Amino acid sequence: MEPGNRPFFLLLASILSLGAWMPVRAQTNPNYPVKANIVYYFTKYVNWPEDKASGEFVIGVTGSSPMYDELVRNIGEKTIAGRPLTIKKFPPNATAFNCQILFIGEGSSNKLRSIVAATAGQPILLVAESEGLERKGACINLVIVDEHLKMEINKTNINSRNLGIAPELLELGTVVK
Amino acid sequence: MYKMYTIKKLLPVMLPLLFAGEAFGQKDTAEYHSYKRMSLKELLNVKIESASKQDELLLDAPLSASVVNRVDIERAGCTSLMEALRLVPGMIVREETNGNYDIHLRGMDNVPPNAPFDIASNTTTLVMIDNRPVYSYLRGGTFWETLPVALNDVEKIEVVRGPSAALYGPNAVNGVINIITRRAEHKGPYLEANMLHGSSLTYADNISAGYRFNDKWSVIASGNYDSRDRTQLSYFEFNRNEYLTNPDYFLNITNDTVRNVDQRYPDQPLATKKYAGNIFLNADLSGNTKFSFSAGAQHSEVQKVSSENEVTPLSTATSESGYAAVRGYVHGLSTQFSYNGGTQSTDNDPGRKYDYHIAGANLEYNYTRGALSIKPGLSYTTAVYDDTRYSNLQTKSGLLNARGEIDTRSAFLRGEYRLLANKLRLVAGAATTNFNHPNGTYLSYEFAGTYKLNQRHVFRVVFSQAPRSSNIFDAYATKTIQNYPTAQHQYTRVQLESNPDAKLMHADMVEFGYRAQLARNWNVDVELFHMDGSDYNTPVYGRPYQQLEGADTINMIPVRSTTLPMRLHQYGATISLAWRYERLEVRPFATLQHTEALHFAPYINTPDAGTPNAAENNIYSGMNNHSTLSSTPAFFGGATVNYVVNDWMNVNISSYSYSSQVYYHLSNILFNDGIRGIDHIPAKLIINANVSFMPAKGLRLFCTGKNLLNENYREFFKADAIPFMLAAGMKYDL
Repeated sequence: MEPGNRPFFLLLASILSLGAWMPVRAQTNPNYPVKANIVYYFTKYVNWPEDKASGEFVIGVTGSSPMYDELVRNIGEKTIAGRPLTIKKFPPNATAFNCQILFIGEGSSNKLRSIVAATAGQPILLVAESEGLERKGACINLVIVDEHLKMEINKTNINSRNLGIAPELLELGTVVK
Repeated sequence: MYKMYTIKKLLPVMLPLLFAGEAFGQKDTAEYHSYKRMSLKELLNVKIESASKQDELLLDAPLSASVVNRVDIERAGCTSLMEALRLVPGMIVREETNGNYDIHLRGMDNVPPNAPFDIASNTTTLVMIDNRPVYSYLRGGTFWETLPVALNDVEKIEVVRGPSAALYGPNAVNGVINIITRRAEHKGPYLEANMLHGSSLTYADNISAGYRFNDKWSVIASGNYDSRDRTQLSYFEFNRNEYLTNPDYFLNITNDTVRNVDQRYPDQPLATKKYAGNIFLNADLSGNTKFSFSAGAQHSEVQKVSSENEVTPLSTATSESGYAAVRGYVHGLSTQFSYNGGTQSTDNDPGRKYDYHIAGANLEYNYTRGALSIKPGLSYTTAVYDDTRYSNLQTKSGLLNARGEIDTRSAFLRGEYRLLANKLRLVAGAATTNFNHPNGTYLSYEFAGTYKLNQRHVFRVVFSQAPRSSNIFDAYATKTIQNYPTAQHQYTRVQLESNPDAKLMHADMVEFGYRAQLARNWNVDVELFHMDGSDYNTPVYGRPYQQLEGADTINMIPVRSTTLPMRLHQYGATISLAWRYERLEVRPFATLQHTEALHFAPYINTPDAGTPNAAENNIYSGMNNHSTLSSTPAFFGGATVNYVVNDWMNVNISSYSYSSQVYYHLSNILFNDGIRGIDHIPAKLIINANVSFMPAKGLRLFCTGKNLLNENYREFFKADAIPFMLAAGMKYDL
């Protein structure tokens, strides 16, 4: 039998080339808009030390997590206590993360150990989304329990980074030690 | 030529959609607006999809059900929608030829034993696309290759196990498979393109393009193309009990020579050749007003086992069909109108072609007050099959030689009540369905209850009963099987005669279930079920009679669809586990079952038939006999292991396996030599691996090895061997 589906390839190629310049956005997991808005509340309920409380407020995302697009889309135009908000991407194997909140996507969760080492003692709120990472250095872990997002908060990790956390946030999450 | 035709049809639809975008408003979707307005507490209360969508299944869902979503399917490297069903617990999925499958839910397959393929295929599972039934009324069942949608259209596949006619409509005897299609989720353009090329000249290519104009309106147009070669060139012949390559002729089961080999099998290497196009329009005008429209057309030509041609298991089946469906929801009132029609041929042997038209309407109203929810409704389906254009009505050379109509009218009431602080959930459904054949009303019901001991442990029980509708063949077909002279003006004629009053097969089930979240990353689901199936029909030789035709006397030997005394009792258990740890996910599942046939006799005649020893050896000769239905494997199941290596790479290992089984074909009782017509299918373990890599945003490259152990034994009665397959491809997702 002749495969002969060259016309299909031609169609595909033409569509793909159209796609290259079109202003489009990836189809993402519908959970990320919710996560992005939750992360925004962290800016209200977490206190950073004075030297990090001026200039632009940076939320970083490691790797190619769809969270980046959703943060830009959902909260990108907001300001944080009068400071301009910037959403930045960081490669997961970066040696420095110049930001106030760092979201570690599922795909780079295996780099958590090196990220924790690279940011040790720095006032950076590490937010993860994979099972068990709150015990491996993340400050807040967003996990799914009974079809809802749950915040697992490691107070020790937060305190070790010289960050303050409001009781309202602790009440809504689960504190682990 | 057909490929060019497809492209010509698709281009005018897709390209304008791609360019249409910027003219429309810039409003965000309602979903995004609502999240932005929510408090943190409200955000944490949003019901969300878990990373592994199996958890979408509510812990307290009352029925046995599973969901496999597009991410699961993509990660496993499935090449077709049918193959994806191997990821679902409780499914028996056997590949007949490359890309064509025999698919059963929980079993009770090859029933009754020794029946023609049409009867023994799965006629008891209701398959739907977006709640639109795609059931074939010709002889019951699903012609999978004629489904117009492909994997690019699929958001998820929901499978409900057990009789569910009271909730889903007639023919949901063993369960329901509902294919839910995708929507453009985000404002702006939507594009997905997939190419997969594999061994045995396997090509599975598809593309979807669409646009979400605003938070209300979205549209997707899609096209798919699938072409696969067989894995062997030979055909198994029942009569000589051997595979023949490039035969000049066949001997059929009545020892006649069949010479139109080229006509029956015009493209012998071909397994699958099909293409289709769809358009999906959705409008969520407000929370209480929704509307959707879908339409499409398909062409398919496959060599598969489904129709009895009395020569070999494989037939060349073709289909050209189209569909349209409109759904609306306004303040609790849901309506659906659908149409599906076209021209199909079950075999390329002349006289197997027919036209068909199926129209359906469904109306239901959802009333909720406090913990009580009630849904009354009405449904109507009419299925018309007509082969009078293609057959010689005098010699009755066609498949039906008639225009037949199956009408189904249902009234149903479904209710749900929660009590004991939502710990106890009761679901009840009852439907009365009136069929024109047999003319009467059948009751189907479903009572289910779940008790949520706490947030982690749920117990449930289900009682249900469901009938299968009649089919055109049983109710209308009249066909001359043999006609030969015995003396001057004397003929003997074996004739298939219709029996519109044959009882309808139905099944009863009792099921107990337990679901638990043993730990946050451990889920277990256990189902214990007992099914009773009865009133199976099969063509049976009846009492001979004489008929005068002019000067000729015809000694008629009638063959009619007749209800057997046989009953089936099935006991089984399905266990599914899900375990996740960071980026590793493991999901094993298995079904163990035993099916016993009561009152079964391996004969196809009534006591008063003209066949030798009919008085002793007939369909009633097995009363009180017990035997094991060996065609359903005692074990079937699989597992998936998925590891997200990083943002760019994913590794997936999936397996599917079943224990040994024995298939009994019609030719077993015709030849009656204990050899022909029987196939012992050995146990098989199929292991697949799929590695995918994303070199750029939206572009995913993948390589799949299927049946890595190269267990190349056939999976279905005397069909093709299914060996190792290597495939690779790409997916582009904007």
